[in-house]
Amino acid sequence: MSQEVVKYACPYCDQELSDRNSLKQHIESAHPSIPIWGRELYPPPKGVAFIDADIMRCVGCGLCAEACSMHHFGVINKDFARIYIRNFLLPLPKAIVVTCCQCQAEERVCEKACPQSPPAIYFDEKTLHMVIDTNRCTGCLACRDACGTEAIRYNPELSDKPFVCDLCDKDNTGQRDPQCVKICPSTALYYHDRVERIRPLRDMMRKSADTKANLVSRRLYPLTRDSIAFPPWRP
Amino acid sequence: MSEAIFKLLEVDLTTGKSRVLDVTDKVKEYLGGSGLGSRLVWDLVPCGTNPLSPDNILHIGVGPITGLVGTKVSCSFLSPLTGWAGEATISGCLGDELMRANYNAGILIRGKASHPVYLFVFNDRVEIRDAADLWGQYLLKTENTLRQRLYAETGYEFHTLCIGPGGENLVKFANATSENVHSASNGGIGAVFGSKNLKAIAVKGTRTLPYANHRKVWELKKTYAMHPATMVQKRSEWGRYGANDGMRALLNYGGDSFKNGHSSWLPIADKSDGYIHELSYRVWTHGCPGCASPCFQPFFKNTSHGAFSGELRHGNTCGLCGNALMGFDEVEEINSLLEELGVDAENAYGLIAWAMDLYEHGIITRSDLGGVDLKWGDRDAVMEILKKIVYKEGHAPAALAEGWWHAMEVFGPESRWYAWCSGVNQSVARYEPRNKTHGLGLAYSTAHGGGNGLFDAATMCVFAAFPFFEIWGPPPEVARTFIAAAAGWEWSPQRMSDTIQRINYMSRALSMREGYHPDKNSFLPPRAFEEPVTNKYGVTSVLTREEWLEARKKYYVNALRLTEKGLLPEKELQRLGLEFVIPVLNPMGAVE
Repeated sequence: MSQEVVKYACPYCDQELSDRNSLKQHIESAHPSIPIWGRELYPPPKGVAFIDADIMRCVGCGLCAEACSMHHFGVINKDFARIYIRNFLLPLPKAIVVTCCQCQAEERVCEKACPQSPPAIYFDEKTLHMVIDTNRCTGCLACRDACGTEAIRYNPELSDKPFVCDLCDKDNTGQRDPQCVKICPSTALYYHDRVERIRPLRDMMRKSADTKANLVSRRLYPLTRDSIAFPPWRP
Repeated sequence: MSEAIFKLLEVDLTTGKSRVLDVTDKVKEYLGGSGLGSRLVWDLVPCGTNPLSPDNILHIGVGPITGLVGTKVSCSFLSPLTGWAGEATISGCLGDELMRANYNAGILIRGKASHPVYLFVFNDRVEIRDAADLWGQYLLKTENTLRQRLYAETGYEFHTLCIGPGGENLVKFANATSENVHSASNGGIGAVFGSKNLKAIAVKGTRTLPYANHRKVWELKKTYAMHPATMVQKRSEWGRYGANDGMRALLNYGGDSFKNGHSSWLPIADKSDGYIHELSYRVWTHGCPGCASPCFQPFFKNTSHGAFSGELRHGNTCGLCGNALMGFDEVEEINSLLEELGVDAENAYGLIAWAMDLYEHGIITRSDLGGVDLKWGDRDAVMEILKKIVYKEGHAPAALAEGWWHAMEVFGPESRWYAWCSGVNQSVARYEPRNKTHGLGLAYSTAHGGGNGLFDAATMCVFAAFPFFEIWGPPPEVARTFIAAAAGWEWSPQRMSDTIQRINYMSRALSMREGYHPDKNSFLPPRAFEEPVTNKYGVTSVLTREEWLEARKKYYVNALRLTEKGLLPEKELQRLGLEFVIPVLNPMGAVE
């Protein structure tokens, strides 16, 4: 078998390097603002009640999404859910779980993007979760397009309005009880509902599932995609 | 209570037309998966059809409880490997997508496309699309390209079942894979894809699942996901080693074949410890939809001779290590190539180990092998020969690509003694057939290649099912409970047991119609009776013919509910409503 040249790729700028040491030097010199690998810091949500999704623990069973649709609509349909799984081939299969983390007022781009005044999608300070006022929402989907996490869902078969995680407080009474966290068999989901954080926050970055998947793959194998797959034996 | 309706999507590749059929009556008799599939093959494929001709069909089968007791897809077709009933099972997301597209009896593919195509199924949208640019590509690239392209087009993640160069070149043991690592391996399903010019099937569904009672189904799912028995399985060795957690014990008691069946234990079994591999290479755990005790352990390793990724020592492939005298390391690396080429690991390793044996004994020469020096345990030589087999280059590799029977004809009678295969053209390298601890020699010799029993028909996953047994009882009880909730059919235990028997008889009848007969094919290789093997602790085992025939008789009657000769009992056939097979099978002497 022919010897293959294995190259290391910088996770932040796609530059290829010959070995691990030069990769380290490159990151230190070219990207000085980036902290230790794998510990990319993102502002943790300052909210009191939110769901923390640990993407490395997620195995992609999708029970969270089924629990969500069952709670809200009484049927099992993962496309009716406010939490969802995306499957990537990195080239190994990896599931990335996505849901709203009820982020703080400084961010909350969905609220800012809403053309209504006051916004039809807003954070309810009493019940501590996002709410979409279906009476005033026009279904323009500006909020969905603005959200960096892609946490706002829309399904034309269900309704012409988008929907977002309400921590299973359907009637907005403050009775929050996330069903996805209850069912998750691999403890990838955790519901923070008190001031003290008893579990460290994991993947609270407000990034799209694609970005997360890319980071996961780059952390685990600092290689270019081409050197992972076998080159075609026959050109 | 409402009852589920079962819809089958029929696609004709020759005409490009598709339609949806209601097959609820058939599903009530045969369940889905390979049960329904065997019946469809019996009805639609004429007797004596060449499996690689357009007349063969391919049923991608799901059933009433797919996604509840593991998510499986069970494909049925006439097997190119044997010419009899063929069945290949695959896990992964495909079954879930088929259910969400509401094709809860699966997809039936007929005919042959004039040029390379892939099948696109998005809820109601069924299209046969050109795959000229995918044809000839390795599996990883095929699947990645297809999924990315469809995501860009529709905004949904499709799940695919693809073939690699193995299937395209009609290698008789080619497989079809999904998510790059799950594979439908048995019976040469890849060659059936290839013969139909079908590179891939891409499925996406966004509908509500077609269950009779969602609330009842959800109660069962919740019970399963939150039950202590599930957590015990997930948190035990299972969660780290996957479906391979019993490997150490299996190796120690001599349950595995080494050196093409010449031994049942060699020091190489202790050379690579699985625990070290798990610590060094495992990157995360991945599971199928709906499974709370996932068993898939992806690995990644970067070595001086290349970077490899794949599945960490899962079940079968791990057991095949010693067969060609290799350690886990080598097998992991070869598996990444197997996953790209798309051939069944069990037959590939079995055939290559056999070729090594023949090469050592001078029955085939280096020039036969296309210049490869095929020494025991040589990883690079195995990789070379594997590529030659898949592309059918050279005298010996081209013969090996046609399976055991054909290769035995080509290599001559003296090669027969070394062939470590069962009567159904299938390698027996995975489990040592002489070992009486697991007794899998009986299963090897009485199998006919077709789907068997409840698990294949109801598409239940045997790995995920252990907690279900703890909670709801033996497999028929589990199936009965879930069928009542998902399909709305309240079946008695007797009806469940009759259905299982009917499924078994149907696939066996199909094989018998196509030429399988227990007198000719239910045997182990002669070495199993004449060459004793010794395990790690010095316990020697070899089968005696009389003892084994007696055991086989009992296995036929008690486990398979056949007659003592392995034939189908006429009275039972009539009782189960299978009387239509009797006139067809009588001339073959298959009914008693």
